[in-house]
Amino acid sequence: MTDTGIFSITATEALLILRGFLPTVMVVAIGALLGKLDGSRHQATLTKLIDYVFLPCLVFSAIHRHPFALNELLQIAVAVTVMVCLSTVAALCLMKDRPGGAGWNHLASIFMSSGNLLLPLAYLLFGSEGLVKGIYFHLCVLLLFHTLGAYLVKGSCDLRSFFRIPFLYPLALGIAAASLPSPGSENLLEMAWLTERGIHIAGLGALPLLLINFGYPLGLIKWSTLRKGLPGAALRIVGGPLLAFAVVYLYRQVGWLSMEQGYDILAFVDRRTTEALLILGASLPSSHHALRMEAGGGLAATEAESATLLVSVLGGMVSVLTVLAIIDVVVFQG
Amino acid sequence: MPSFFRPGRGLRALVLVLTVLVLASAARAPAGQRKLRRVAIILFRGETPSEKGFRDTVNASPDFQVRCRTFNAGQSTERLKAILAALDTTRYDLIYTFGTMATLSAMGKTKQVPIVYNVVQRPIEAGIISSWENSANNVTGASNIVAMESAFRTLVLVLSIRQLGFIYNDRDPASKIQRADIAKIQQKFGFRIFDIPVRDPESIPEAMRRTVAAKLDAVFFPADSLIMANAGTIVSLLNQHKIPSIAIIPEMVTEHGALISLGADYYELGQLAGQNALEVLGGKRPDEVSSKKVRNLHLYINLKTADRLGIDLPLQLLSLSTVIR
Repeated sequence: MTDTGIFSITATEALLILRGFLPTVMVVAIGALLGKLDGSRHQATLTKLIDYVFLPCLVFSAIHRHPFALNELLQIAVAVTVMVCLSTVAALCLMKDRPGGAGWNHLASIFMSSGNLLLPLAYLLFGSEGLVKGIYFHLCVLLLFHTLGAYLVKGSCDLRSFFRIPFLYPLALGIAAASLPSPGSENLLEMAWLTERGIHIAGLGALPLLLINFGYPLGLIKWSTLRKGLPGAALRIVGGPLLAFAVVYLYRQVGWLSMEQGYDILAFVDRRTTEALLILGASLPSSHHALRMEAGGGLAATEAESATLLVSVLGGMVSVLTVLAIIDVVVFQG
Repeated sequence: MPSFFRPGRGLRALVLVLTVLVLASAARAPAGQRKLRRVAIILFRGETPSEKGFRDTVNASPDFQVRCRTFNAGQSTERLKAILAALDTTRYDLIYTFGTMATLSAMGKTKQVPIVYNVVQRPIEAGIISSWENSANNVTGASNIVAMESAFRTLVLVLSIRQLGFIYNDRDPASKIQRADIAKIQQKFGFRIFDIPVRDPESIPEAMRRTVAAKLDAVFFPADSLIMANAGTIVSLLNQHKIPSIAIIPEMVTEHGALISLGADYYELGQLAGQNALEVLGGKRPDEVSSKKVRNLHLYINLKTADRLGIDLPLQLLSLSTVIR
């Protein structure tokens, strides 16, 4: 049976979406449970293990097999910058930071979980192509977090801490490796394949760990504070995707993500994947980067900020699934 | 009684209606008034959707009544030679050929009668035309050219490949050209080619034994008539041993269960060849009619095969492909 029609294919695609989304939710829930059980005592160890071992492997493994295209990175960088800047304006206008909050509440509604959540989801839903774009998205969010985000909280940018992030170095190494030809000698090639295999397996291990790491602090947030997180979470999980749809629409209008199919369908698939990734990234719940920054700065996260994170996670279970269905219909089949 | 139905007026009305009917039917240019043109269709492996596209296009012509006579070599090079030896080319206004081998054989037979080729991957490299714009001979047609880099980008979206099998007819020049193209990109994509040459259907079982023993990551099928004709056996064996396959010919996915194909739609190719044929029948020399390529490539994915091989397909690939279940 051959089918290309929207109705006949929806069941398969819905299954594929659920196959990527449900395990993600389950592993985050396991992370939350673990966090509650051991009182987040091992969060720092887990984070270090991810930051210094597994995530670099994932990043290198994905990037070094993907031909680097500056245009692809620029498309994502400009979109993320526009979305984050507009979210900042909206957060500053719509939400009042409590005294002592020092911008924390804003961070939770401005910044999405581009690392812990987006990378596993992008890989599960859009494969290695999605993961590469997710990595670029995460890079841009990190840069904005350490500049704009740090400015909102501390009144100054923190580029030094940005360059201390281990994530950047396997990314640069991966781009360099992708630009070099593979070794000509058979023995070298064999060794390169074996090493690559090991890195790939370690990289795949990062996916569940990232999700557990995301879930870890959730178990400690007080449910009684949920109401305080409603405005920030609404801005994050509703405003985020709306902004992303607007950016994608603009990109199409100016021809940066053209809808012209052309001869090579893969170029078309690539453009649609970029759109899907931008929308998915923008619709994700809050990042707990803020909590991590807090640990370093010795500042306590406000109840509103923690609540924003929790509400956006709970609401995200519905909103992200809805956004994925919309992506399938509007971006891929539209 | 209304005046229209008075005696004499009914007869006049009847004459008027009949006249209108005759004029209307004359305007449709009946087959008898269209110029008769004869086309010999030379096929190596039987009818494909591209011949349907060709016939539908030439039969829709308002100027010509095209009578096609089909000669099918049934995948035998000997029979192809016999067909062309017996073919009286002076009886035909045009020869349509499918594939590189049939086209080269027809070119050897006649330099006068126009030849319209179809489904030829590399017409320039195979020596069929000098350039896409001007063939510099009695040939024009439509090519199913697919950039090998695109084909591999498709493959790496779903698989990580270290050793890639390339199964091909070593007598077919088109397959050798595609083999050379793949060799050029193997460094870039970091894989190694494992050659699986075959000569005839009898040599396929041995070739498949070697393929299975080599524990390949995937097998690539070029646009090759011999391989296509035996695709059923080859693909089912590969699927049985959980070896993914990528093809250029969509039928390998839609009918024989190969995993994925990136190629031209054959019906559309037939239409393009038909348009060229009509231009030639209309009086243009074949070298004045540029060879055509499809406007876009299509992705075909066999979901059943993907499930059997345990391959998770990305959502975007599934949504933008023709999915066979």
